[in-house]
Order: sequence, then C-alpha cells, then structure tokens
Amino acid sequence: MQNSNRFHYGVVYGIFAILLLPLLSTALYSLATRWGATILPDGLTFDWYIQLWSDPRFLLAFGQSILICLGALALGTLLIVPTIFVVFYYFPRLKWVMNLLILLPFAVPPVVSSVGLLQIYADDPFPIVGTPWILIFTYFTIALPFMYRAIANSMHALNLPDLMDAAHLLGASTWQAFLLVVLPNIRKGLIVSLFLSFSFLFSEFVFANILVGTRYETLQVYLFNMRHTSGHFTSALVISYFMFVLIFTWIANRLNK
Amino acid sequence: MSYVEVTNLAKRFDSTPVFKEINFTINKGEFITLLGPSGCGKSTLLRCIAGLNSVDNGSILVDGEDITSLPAQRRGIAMVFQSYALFPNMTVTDNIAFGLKMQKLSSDEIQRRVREGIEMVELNGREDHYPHQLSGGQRQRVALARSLVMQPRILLLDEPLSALDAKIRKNLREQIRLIQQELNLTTIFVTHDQEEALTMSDRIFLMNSGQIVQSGSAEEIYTEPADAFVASFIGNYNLLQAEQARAMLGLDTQLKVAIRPESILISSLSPVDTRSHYSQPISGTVKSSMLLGNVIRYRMDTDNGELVVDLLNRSSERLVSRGTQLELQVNMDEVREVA
Amino acid sequence: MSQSVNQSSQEMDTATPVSRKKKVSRERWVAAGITLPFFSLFAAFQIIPLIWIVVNSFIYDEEWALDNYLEILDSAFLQQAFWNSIVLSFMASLFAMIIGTMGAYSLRHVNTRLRDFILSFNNMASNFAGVPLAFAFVIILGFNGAITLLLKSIGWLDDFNLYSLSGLIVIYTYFQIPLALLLLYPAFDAIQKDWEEAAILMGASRAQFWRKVGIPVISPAILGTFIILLANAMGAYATVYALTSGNYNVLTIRIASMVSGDVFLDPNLAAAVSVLLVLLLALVTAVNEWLLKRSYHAK
Repeated sequence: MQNSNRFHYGVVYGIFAILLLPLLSTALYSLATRWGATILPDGLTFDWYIQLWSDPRFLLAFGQSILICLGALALGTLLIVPTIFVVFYYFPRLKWVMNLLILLPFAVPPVVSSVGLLQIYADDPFPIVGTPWILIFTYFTIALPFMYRAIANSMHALNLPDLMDAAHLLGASTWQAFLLVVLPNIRKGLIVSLFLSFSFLFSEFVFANILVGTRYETLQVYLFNMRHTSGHFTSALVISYFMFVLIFTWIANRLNK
Repeated sequence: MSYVEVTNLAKRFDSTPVFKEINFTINKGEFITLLGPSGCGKSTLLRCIAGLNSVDNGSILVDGEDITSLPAQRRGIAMVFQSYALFPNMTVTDNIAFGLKMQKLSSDEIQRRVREGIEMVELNGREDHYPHQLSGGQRQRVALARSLVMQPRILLLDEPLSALDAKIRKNLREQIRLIQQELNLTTIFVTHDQEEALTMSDRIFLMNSGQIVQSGSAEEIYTEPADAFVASFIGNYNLLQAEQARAMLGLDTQLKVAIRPESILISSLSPVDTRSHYSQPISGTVKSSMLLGNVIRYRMDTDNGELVVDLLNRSSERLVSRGTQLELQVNMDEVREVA
Repeated sequence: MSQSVNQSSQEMDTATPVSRKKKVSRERWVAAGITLPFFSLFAAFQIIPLIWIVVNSFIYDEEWALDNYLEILDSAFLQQAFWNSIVLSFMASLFAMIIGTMGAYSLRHVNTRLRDFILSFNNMASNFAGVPLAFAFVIILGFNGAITLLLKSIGWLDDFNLYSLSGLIVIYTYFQIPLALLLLYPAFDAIQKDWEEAAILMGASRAQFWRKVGIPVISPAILGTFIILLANAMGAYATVYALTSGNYNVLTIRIASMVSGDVFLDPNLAAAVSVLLVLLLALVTAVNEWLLKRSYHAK
C-alpha cells in the first residue's frame, strides 16, 4: 500500500517536472546575462525585459494581438449566443447540426483551412488577406467550439422550455425572457469560455503567419520573426507572453469554481 | 453456538472513531438488519466484516474461525452494493460467472450454477444482456445472483434497494427474504429505512453514532424503544419532555415519555378498551388531518404541546374538521419512559 | 366581436388555434433569420474554404483532372512528407498516451490539493505550444542547451539532435501530454471503486480486476484519446515550423510552403495534399468508430 502510493506520487511529480522544465529554463534564460556552453548561467539581470518592453514593435504587436482577439470574441458573442438560444429553443432537433459544425474547426488543421482562405480572400470581391479582418473572422470560427460547448452546457442546465414557458406566463415576451432570464443564467459559462478562448486565440500562430504575416503583426508572428535575435531576448518575450496567457487561464479557472 | 461472533470491534478514521465496542452474535440462517441514520457507522461495520476495511481492535469469528485479519478474497463472504457494482463490459451471464471463474471451477459447474442463479432471481431470457440494457431492479437481481452463486457463508447487503422505485423495492424486498429463507443463508442487511428493517428482519441492530443502541426483534424494537433516539427513529412516536408528561398524564417521571400515535384514542369517536388503563381525558383542538389509507392521522394541539393521533379509517366515522375540540385519552399501558 | 376593437388587441384576444399557429410560425422565421449572420460567416470562413480545396484539388491547368493526385504519387518528396508525418505523429501520440494514462491513473491516488494543483497547472501548460515552446526547447535541448550539456556531461547522450525526427518526437510528445491528461483524467471516473471491491470479494486479485474489467472498460477512452492526439499531431504546424524554419519535411510544412512560400507556389497541389491529409484523419476516426461499435458500449 505504502509502496504503491510512493509510486503514484513519483509519477505525478515526474510529469509536473517534465511540464515545468522548459518553462523554468526559459525563465532562467530570460534572466541570465550570458548562458553559453555551461549548465548554469553566468549572472542574472532584468535587462532583457527592459529591452523588450521598450521595443515599440513589440508593444505594437502586443496591442494588435489583443485587438484581434477582442474583435473575434465580440463578434463571436454577438453571433453565437443568439444562435444557440434559437437552436435550443426553436429548433432543438437541429442540435446535431451544431454538434457536427463545431467539430470542423477541430478536425480540419489550420494549415488546410488557410489554403482555401488564402485563395478566396486574396482578390475581389473580398480582398482581406493581409488585413486584421481575415483574422477576426477566422478566429471567430476557431473559437466557436470553446464558446459553443460552454454556452450550450449552461443552456442545457437551464431546462429552457420550462423556463421560457414560465417567463411567458408571467407576461414576458420572448425577447424580454431571453434578455432578463436566459442571458443572466448563462453569463458565467459565457465569461469562462471567453477567457479560455482568449488564451487560445492569443496563442494562435498558423493563421496569423500565413494569412497576414508582417502586414499586421501579432505577438506570435513577432516572436517568430525575432528568432534570430538574442535567445535571452526571445526568452523574455516567451515568458512575458506566457505570463499574460497564464493570468487569463487562471482567471477562467477561478471563475469556473 | 452462534455462527457469527463479533467481539469488541472498533474502527477509527484518523483519530475519529467510526464505531467502538461492537459486540453481537448471529445464528446460522438469521436475517439481521443494521438500521440507523446515515453516518452512524453501519456501512463501515459491514465493510469491516467483508474485509474491505481493516479494524483497529476486536475480532470477527465465522463458524468458529477467526477471519479478522483474513483478506477479503478468502473470507467466503459475498456482498451486494447499493450501486450494484456490475461490470459494464460483461453480460449478465459473465457477471454472474465472474466469481466462479476466479475460483477456477470446471466450466460445467460454472454453467450449472449460473443457470441456477439466473432462475433464482427470475432473469431468464436476459442472459446475454449488458448491465446498461437492464432496469435498476434487474441489475440488482444480477448483483444478487452474482453473490448467491458463490454460496457464501454470509451474505452482506449494503442498502441494496435504496436506488430503486418504491414498487420495485417492495417486490425485491420480498424476493430477497424468500430466497434467503429458502437457502437458510446468514444475511446482514444495511439500511436507513425503518419500514424495510421492520418487515424483513429476524432481528434488528439499531445503530447510532458508532454504537448498537438496541437489538431485538422488529416487535421488540417497535414497542419497547430503549431510548429517545430509538423512539424518534422508529415510527412516529410522540416524544414528551418530562415536565410535559407530568402535566399532561399526571405521571411521576424524570424521563422523557414516548407515546405511539395509535395508543391514543379520541373518546367521542372510539370506545375505550376496558382491558386497558387510560389517562384522564385531555382536551385538544384539531390542527390538521391527513388520510394515510387505512389510517387517519390527526395533529392535535393540547395545553401541554402537540400530539399526533392515528385512528383506524372506518367508514362509519367521518373526518373531523380543523378547529374541532375533542377529548383524548392515552392508553397508559403503552406509554414508555425513555432515557 | 365588436368592430371598435383595434387590430392588435384583436390578435391577442382571439388567439384561435389557427392564428396562434401562424404567429408562432412567423416567430420561428424571425428566429431563424437571427441565426443567418452566424451561419453565413461560419460558412464563409470554414466551410467554403474546405469546398474550395476539394474542388481545386481536381483542377490542373484550369481543367478538371487528377493530375494533382498523380503528382503526389510521382513525388518521392511528398511521399516522404506523408511518411514523416505519420511516423512522427504516431510515436509522439503513443508516448503522450502512455504518460497521460499513467498520470491520470496516479492522479487518483494522490491527495486532493496536489491533484487540483496539477490539473490547473496542466490546463495552463496546454497553452504552451507552438513557437514559444520551440524556443524553450532550443534553450534546453538545442546544441548548447542546458539539458543537452548536462546529459552529455554524464554520458547519457551522445548525438541527440533536436532538429531531427527523434528531437521532434520529444517536443511533440511534450505538447501532447497536457492534452492527453486532460482527456484521460475524466475517463478514469468511469471505473467505480465498488467494482474493484466487488471483484475482490469474488476472489479476484487487483491484476485480475484490471485485466478483466478495468482495462476493457477504459480502453475505448484511451483509444479515442489516441486518435485525437494523432489528429492533433498530424495537423500541428507552428512547432515544427519554428523549430526547423520549415526544413523538416512533414505534410503541414509542405502544404504551407506551396501556398505561402517564396519559391514554389502551387495552391492546387496544396489542395490535393490537404484533401489527402483530411481523408487520412477521417480514416483514422472511422476505424476508431468501427472499433467502438464492436465494443459493449454500443450494444
């Protein structure tokens, strides 16, 4: 009994160590003055962070990333929430269609989608390749599975038909019932999904690089383009980026409790 | 000589005792019920007998053999779980055969015993079904058969009926009791449902906070509650504080008093049974009435507190309406002082 | 019904079954209309690109033809990409699945605080993939990486190359572990403690319980997780692109270079390779479904 317990703790700490190691070394690297052909760095410094956070190109990419993510999520919320409500309330038999649709962004690799997107939206009538718009629209589709699952789960827990009947009997119109009863009840699920989607979209690289690249640089593309500069500098960038994502994931986890 | 002997059994989780100084004996073929509220330690006691939990002190003897430190596999004890614990990847037949295969019996023997088991619990025709294709009642029958074919020395039943519908529960209750009597199988049944305990058992061990507070036949426990806890747990006893009892019944007592609702009569409605000794009339007002099939239950307000009175529902009598003043008399032979 | 009653209140007061039905059906049309922007946008940016790919994979020199597919059959380079993708994804998914299964099982045997901490940490780690991960791996496992040096100094490692197949398997395994753990941890919920106890009371050992009940019950979940990992690895692009600057030959790198590279652009060939990649993923999923159908779950 005691032995097997020790084994389980060993496995869990082992996996933790494996997952932590790259992060930890990157963090250490970002704080090192120089880390050449030795196992430990020579000295510690904050210079790389100062250099990073005073680079205007970094700040621009950072801001543009946030802008695109917020845009995609705003668009998503505006379109997805009413659609889920309509499907659940008016056409519950069509839920399977939605379940099939949300599989697509998972099943089709981004590289494959971008082949089509690149050709369709390069020229008229919608020449939006190379602009933030194509990212906002594409991110809307890849955030859909996250948002749909969370909102549909909340909606499912509501017992929508009874709730709407009750609201109608009390004199509310469908619109009022949606606004005053349904929306407040799915708010938590929605907010959690927004935080999770934000972390996910913020980490997106494939679409950003292939569809837009340096014409409207996001943080991930900036990071990639900085690959030939000092490793300490890119490490500071990786850690800054990861801390940002971490905060959002952490908030989502907290809200979910 | 008793078949099962439990002596001084004690169990702690960390430092909090789950139960202590548990002593009892069971005869071969007896149906024993461990009855008590949730958290009283009855399930843990059962698991200790099964060998799924270890004990900290005391001994368990079965047929003269000390099994206290024997692993669960070698105790010859079978158990039916509340959740059925059927293996979802096996058919009814495979579930029932599982234990027999573990014993490496010949396949002829396994086939024969499985068929017997299926017939005993009346599951013919379901042999090749998987658990998720069965109803709750059918699943519990499979679990029962799976235990019975092991021909255990003791059968343990851990709240086997509590996940089922009322009607199925009643059916299965009778079936379990019939099979148990037919096989003369020593059985320990755990439940928190007093009706289940009263209808099924040869003897009931009533447990509260880690101790057996009373043991005896259903009738003994029902009519002679050992203390206020038993009185309140079994039936719908009226429980009076000492001062209430003194004022209402003129009793000279320092203890609480328990009165069964059916031992109170309403003088104007029912004749007094002359063989019994009755209290002085107590005046009361009808607060509510409830029809429980063959019984009408009145809640009465008296000067010294509320009383619940059960009357047989006879067609000659009409329901007395709320607010009516009535005279009550308590059959003093049925009044019990309890600690 | 009086003439003076105005139109709208008449509609409300005399909700005969017929007019009520009409009103409900109009409401449903309005409701359906509300979903229109959602479905059009989703179609425009998810479904139409997919259709474009399928259609254009059959167009060669502006004519209907199978030449794109024939070219794949002729090209040793493209076939190598298929083969590399399959080997890399299969190995990495296998390792991640083994580690994830062990982790998910062991997580059930440690105290709650550690378990909750690891699960939250795992959620966060699942975001650590792609370009940042590639950079981190260069730092620890590159030619002058700290771990490379450490392992070399104690003689455990002779010629490890992060930029080769074995290096890629390591990094792919790494970013698949959080996903494997995320998917497998709930799967162990399916194994109830009662089952193990019931089996033990019937004379089974722990090993027998796992062989006869535990593994059969959990294997569909493990297999399903493996399929998801496989698809995830086959579709992965950012990590290998950032690590090797597009010099390691896998499918996603090939596809991307044919639509956004500097030298050799051939979107129609890229479409054909994409179709084959998606078909490959579909085939794997279909095999999984078929295996599931044969198991007891479907009966």
